Amino acid sequence: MSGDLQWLLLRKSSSFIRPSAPESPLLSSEPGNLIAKHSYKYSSTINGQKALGIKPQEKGALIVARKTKSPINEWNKGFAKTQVTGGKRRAYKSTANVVSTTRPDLLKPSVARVSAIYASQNPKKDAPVKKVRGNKA
Amino acid sequence: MVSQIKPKIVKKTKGSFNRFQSDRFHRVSSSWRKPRGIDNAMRRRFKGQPTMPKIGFGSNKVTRHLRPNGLKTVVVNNTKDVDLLLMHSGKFAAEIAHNVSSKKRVEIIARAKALNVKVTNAAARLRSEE
Repeated sequence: MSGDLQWLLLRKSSSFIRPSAPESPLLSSEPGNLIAKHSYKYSSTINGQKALGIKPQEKGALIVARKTKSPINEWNKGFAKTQVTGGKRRAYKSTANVVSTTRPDLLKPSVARVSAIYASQNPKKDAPVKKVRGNKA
Repeated sequence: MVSQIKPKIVKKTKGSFNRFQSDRFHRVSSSWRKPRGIDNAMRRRFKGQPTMPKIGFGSNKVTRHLRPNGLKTVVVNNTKDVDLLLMHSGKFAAEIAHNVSSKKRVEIIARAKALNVKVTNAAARLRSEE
């Protein structure tokens, strides 16, 4: 089935569509959707043979990329998993190495996703306590 | 957390439009109905009459639905929904749905904090024990 036809079928009735802000692009909860946007380009269902997902791990990220020319009947075996750990710059580099061969059009968002995952793993400071003002002070 | 683009948000009206004569009778609620009477002064837009809603009061497309901090609101029900906003923390703020328990709210808020996602109703149902 062609990707165009699949998109026509999935565009309005995908179970991955999540409610979004009004008049905004719809969000998608597909496992391989890099920026969680419901669109042809980012849909991992439509780009199944070139699927690319980046998941957060305990530390670092995991890139799951569809191997080129892997047979459809052995679906689960056809994924290459790359663990990305270590420093940020090394992580970007190894992400770019994987993505530039499989999905060069998704290079920027995939590096951005790794960056966002790394940022989410940093410890966060608590918000400063508000000063009491006026009569309460 | 703060949106990168900051267009100026212009609101052309304050508050809501009230139904004709809702100020005079308790039985007429203020929820908007267009007056259609042949002699109605409000419909004919006479001087001193309250304003009626019209398309010109619409907000700029760019700033429609924006919060004052420049973010749009997405209602979230669980931590998975917050994870969707990982790449959109500069564009969307999360709003926890009304029927989520205080126990789950703690998880959602913790996840949102890790992802740098603003939660609009983070203080709701969170009261320290006295």
